[in-house]
Amino acid sequence: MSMPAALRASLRSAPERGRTVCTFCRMGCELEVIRQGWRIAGVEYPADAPVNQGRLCPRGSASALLLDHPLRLAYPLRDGKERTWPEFFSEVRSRLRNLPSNELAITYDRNLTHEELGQVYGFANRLGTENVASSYLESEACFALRLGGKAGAEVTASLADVLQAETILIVGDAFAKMPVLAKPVLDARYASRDRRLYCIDSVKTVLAGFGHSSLRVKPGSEPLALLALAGLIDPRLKGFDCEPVAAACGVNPVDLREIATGFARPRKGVVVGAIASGRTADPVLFSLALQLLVSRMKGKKKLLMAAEAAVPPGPRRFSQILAGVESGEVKTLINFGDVFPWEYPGLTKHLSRLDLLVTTAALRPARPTPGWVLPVPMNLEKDGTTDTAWGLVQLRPAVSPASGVRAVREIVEGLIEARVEADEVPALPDYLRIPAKSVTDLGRALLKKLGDEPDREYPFLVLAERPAYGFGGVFPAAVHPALMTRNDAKQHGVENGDRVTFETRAGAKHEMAVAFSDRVADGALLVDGSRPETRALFAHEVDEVTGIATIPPVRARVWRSE
Amino acid sequence: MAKRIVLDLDYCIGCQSCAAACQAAYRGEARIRYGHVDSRAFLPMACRHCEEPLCAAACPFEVLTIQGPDKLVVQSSFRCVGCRSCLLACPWGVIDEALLRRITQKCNECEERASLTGQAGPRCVSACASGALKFLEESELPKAEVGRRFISRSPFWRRT
Repeated sequence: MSMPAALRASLRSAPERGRTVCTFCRMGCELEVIRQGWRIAGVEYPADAPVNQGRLCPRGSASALLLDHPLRLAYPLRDGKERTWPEFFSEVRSRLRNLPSNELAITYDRNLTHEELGQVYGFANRLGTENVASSYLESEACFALRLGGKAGAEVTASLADVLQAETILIVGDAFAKMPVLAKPVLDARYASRDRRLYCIDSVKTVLAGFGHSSLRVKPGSEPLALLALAGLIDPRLKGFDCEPVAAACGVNPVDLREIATGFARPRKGVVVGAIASGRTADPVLFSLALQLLVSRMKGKKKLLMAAEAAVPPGPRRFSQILAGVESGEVKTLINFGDVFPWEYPGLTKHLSRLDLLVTTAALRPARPTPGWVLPVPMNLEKDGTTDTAWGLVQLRPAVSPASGVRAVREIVEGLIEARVEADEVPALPDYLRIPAKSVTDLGRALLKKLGDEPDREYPFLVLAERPAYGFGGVFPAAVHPALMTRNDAKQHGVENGDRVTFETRAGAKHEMAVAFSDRVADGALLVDGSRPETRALFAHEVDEVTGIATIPPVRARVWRSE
Repeated sequence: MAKRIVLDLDYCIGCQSCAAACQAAYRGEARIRYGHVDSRAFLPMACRHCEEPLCAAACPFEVLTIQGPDKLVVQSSFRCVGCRSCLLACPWGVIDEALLRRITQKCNECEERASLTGQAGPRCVSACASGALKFLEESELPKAEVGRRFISRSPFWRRT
């Protein structure tokens, strides 16, 4: 049979379905990929899926398009040029053979199954390096933090807890992180007149429109609002009196008391936290304050982390690896996953100091990347277990892996030329266990800092918003203007629709249009964080207490472009 | 009685899952339009498949016809010349002004979906992340209480 005839017959064949779990966020939605012969015909929405009942956010609907996307990587790339797998193995194998273990670092980001993660740890052990860290700089990594001692909040909510919750408090934009969570949250909110939904965020979000009470706090003061609520619920927590904290947060103390009253009664409740890169000013303190709040509540109160991914922290912190790269100690970096380093344009200046960078990706990188980029299967093509907000779930390959890709196991075994056993992923390292007292100390320091004089040279705080739609450039996404208040615009002589130039304290510059909006507070600017140009405005910072690298909002000055 | 796509404003969070599902299935076509009112209310707009469709009446080439037991207003993509008469005539503004492959993009309630995957109904309704889009008969509307709470959601409007 000639090829065109085979292709024609294949396209006439009956459609086949492969069912798996979407891993674009921690919701754990099930979806089906429809194959018709050689063609990926699209996704189907299984109505019997327990978590999502078929519902999918834009990322889920678009996920099948990525399987046969024109940018799908089928060959290893060396400095942007196509090479073969044997060339990769021969070059990197010989380099690893002579490399002292302290000059090698192995990192991983999201989109790895637990089995693959074990393989990465086994690979690191075989090479004798202890430089192993999670490079997933998204602040969600902070969710791994735990309060030490009695205040530990090991109370993860289940889907049933959300549906039965009489009071729900959402801090951050949980609907942008996990859009399918909207259905259970709104079902719970509308179940009876007594149910309550409260929202706290520095930006007026769509979610706020559904809340009975919605506090738009000053950017960066979310942890203080949480500590004030904890203080109202448990009077033993001193130093966070409602009035001064409400003034620091820029909200009415009555609203804070209303939320505290809603949670003080011994009834079922859920606190949802959504940390966002470039939006949550102090992700570490935010995460700790969330846990402290839930630990002080009486009755059946649960905590739910709404995130795109939760990656297990490594024995080393990524900031240590970056410091090693900067000092020249680390000369070779191998990363497994598929977002690093493209998601973090601010890091590329460090990476150019490496002798060799090896990264993995499913799609061809949008910007030139030095070193090797290896094609790997997407999650829809993988077999294994993965983490969701509701626990571990089984991934099944919905389609067979694309041509040219190699799984993590094949890559690490090819580099060592021996079988690599999957090691245990280590438990929570000590640096992530923080005593409750440190949280209150940090909170007091934040309270003092917010009362300080504003920065006159860089008056604006640039916040990032990263909604689920316009995902990954699969759909032609509209260019969203930066949002600022009318007051700020007037002070800086900016008209609606003008183009302005941003310059951050670190020297990053970007020009974009602005629009007036009451979604942000005075002194804040909201930009679309899903675009690489705007993401480049946000540099990482290292947390003083934990040493975790996070991406907080940036201070910037803004002027009208000529 | 035929089913139609109904929007429950109580649940719509403006995530555009509906538009994404449509675009993913029809390779870039936006057969469901999406509007918002002052960033506060969101309006995914799907074809209502009118009993007396003005778009069909306005079409100079009889591209749009009422077909099948569900009385869907269906577009024949081979005959469409992209003159946009239908979108000018549509009183609901559900036909996008952008042409794709030089023709207009018109909702057909995913009528081919059942033959492809065995699952009936529009994909936008199945995909809707928050459960705001429903596929209902007219007789089911009172029971569904669609959008009842939207007006009474007083805090929503209080802060506007």
